[in-house]
Amino acid sequence: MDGADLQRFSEMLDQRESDPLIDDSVDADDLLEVAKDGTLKETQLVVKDKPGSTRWLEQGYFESGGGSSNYGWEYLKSRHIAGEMVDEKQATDFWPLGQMVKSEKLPDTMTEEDVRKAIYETVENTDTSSEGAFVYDGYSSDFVDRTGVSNVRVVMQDGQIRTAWPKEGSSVWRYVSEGDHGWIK
Amino acid sequence: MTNEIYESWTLDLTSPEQSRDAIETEFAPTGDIRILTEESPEESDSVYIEDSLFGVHLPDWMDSISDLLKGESTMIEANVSDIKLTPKEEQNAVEVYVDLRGVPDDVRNYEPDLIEMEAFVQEVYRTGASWAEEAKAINPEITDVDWYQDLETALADAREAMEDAGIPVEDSP
Repeated sequence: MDGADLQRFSEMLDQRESDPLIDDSVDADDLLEVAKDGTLKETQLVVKDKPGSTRWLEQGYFESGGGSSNYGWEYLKSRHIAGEMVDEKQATDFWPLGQMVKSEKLPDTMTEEDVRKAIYETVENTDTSSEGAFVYDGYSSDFVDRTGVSNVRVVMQDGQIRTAWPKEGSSVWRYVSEGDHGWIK
Repeated sequence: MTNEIYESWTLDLTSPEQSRDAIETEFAPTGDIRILTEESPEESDSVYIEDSLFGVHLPDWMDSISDLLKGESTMIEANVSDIKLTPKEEQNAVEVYVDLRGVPDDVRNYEPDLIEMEAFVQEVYRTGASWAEEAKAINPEITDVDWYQDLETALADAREAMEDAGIPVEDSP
């Protein structure tokens, strides 16, 4: 760990009871586990899943084009908020942040913080594996009414959240490039 | 579905060179997939099936070979679609159906493909073996990484299944 990692390490321990994106049951050993497989200074969210395994989301990386080590918030934001590569991919589901994509303004019902909180709740209430994808639809009616998102899919790799997108809800739009179909609202 | 059974096709995958940064850091790469029956990757403007767990799912592609040769269906789960592979014994073929979850086929103007069984498994194996070799050339230490070891194991199993079925095995183009 370098100095920035150590600073984030102590910051997360200090703020775990007040920061809604840091599980208050996370302890120093859990963060050391994150540090072993990830980068603490880039960590935006740390949560224990239903059985108690530590999962986290990093700032991450996105490179358009072919395959790469795309992961984390940058990957999620580039594909499922900004709509990068939307024409090249078969279909893309969007978080509703009022952004403009393909000349359309999407519903403005969530903030970036809401997206992270949705992911946090998804992982917190799921028996996750360190690798794979899972879906969660147990949000409160208040959350669903406010955000228009009722179902979220999260992809996990090596214990960390690789990406996530909404699957269902009144504010969830999908752009289908295949067959030049366009928006499904 | 058309009645045509394709005798040649291309499994167009994100290449190890495109995944160089991931392979060098031993990270299982994200990637894209296209199943091309009527055109080459260079001339095709078909959309890509996105798979955020592409590196992890490569062994599943190789495992599909033994499943199909045993007469069993199999499925590979990508981000927004499921690639369903079903053996069609009477036609000695594989039905390749890409199910875009939640979107009816007529909306996307889509029909499944039928690919001759031997052509299907040979292309999957050739592509997987070639991918594994290229990845190892980029980073020889990738052989110590779990997802790559899973790919090597799946390739060995696929090769054995093809040999048992009397299908010639071609490692590279």
